[in-house]
Amino acid sequence: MAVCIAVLTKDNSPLYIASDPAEDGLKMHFLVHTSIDVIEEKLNSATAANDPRDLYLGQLYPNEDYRIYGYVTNTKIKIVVIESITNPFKDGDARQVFSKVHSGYISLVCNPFYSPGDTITSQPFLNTVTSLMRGKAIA
Amino acid sequence: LSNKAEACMEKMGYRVGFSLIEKATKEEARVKEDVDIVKYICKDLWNMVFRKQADNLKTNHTGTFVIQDNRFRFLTRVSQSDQYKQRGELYVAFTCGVVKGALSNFGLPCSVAAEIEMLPTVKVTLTLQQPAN
Repeated sequence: MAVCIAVLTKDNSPLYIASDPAEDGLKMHFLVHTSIDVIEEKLNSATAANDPRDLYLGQLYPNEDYRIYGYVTNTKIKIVVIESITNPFKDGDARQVFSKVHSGYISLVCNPFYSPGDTITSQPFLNTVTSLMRGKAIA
Repeated sequence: LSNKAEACMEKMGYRVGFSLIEKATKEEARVKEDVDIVKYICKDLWNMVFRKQADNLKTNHTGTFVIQDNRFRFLTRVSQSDQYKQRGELYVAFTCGVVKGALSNFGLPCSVAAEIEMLPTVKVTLTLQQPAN
């Protein structure tokens, strides 16, 4: 199940980080922070061989308790999803999670009351993310 | 007074362009080069907003691009005489904002200016604020 979902801007400042209350929030923050480096590396080293057409970056790096997946939009917004090894989801599922978070983010940006770059406090977005985190626990 | 109106239109266009790009690029493959980004603006963004593509794109390869539209949608009904060129600027201000917002969401801050030499042909000049790589 997804234990943490994070949305970062192109300057890597966090717009939103939420983790499952059962997990250590600080550790999640730390993992997200370290994954930024990996994402940047993947973006910069992206040669033609390295799926140039895909926004989904796949698993970023191995860790003993968690799997960390990354996704970067064309507008340089980075989304990081951390899931626990005890309850993993398949590759197709991870893409779905990112797709839903991305759609939630798009609805947020189209909201004229939201200024791009602010921390996300919008209720619909928060609901989307919490349902994604909880939904995975049930699935 | 007309400057304030133009600035207001451009600000509105900025937000619209920003959101449009966010929405539209969800399904697109990753766009990499600056030139590709500007080409995307000419083709897909112009298509979305005006239902036609821009007619011409010129560059001097040092970060300046000129997008030309020979039948600018908002000006096709204005009679083609020089006295309306000044007023035509207001109609282009919103579009300048859209382009500016779109480019800044792609991560390319730029300044956008528009010229109307002969109605309804409009040239939009983009100057990227860093050297294009």
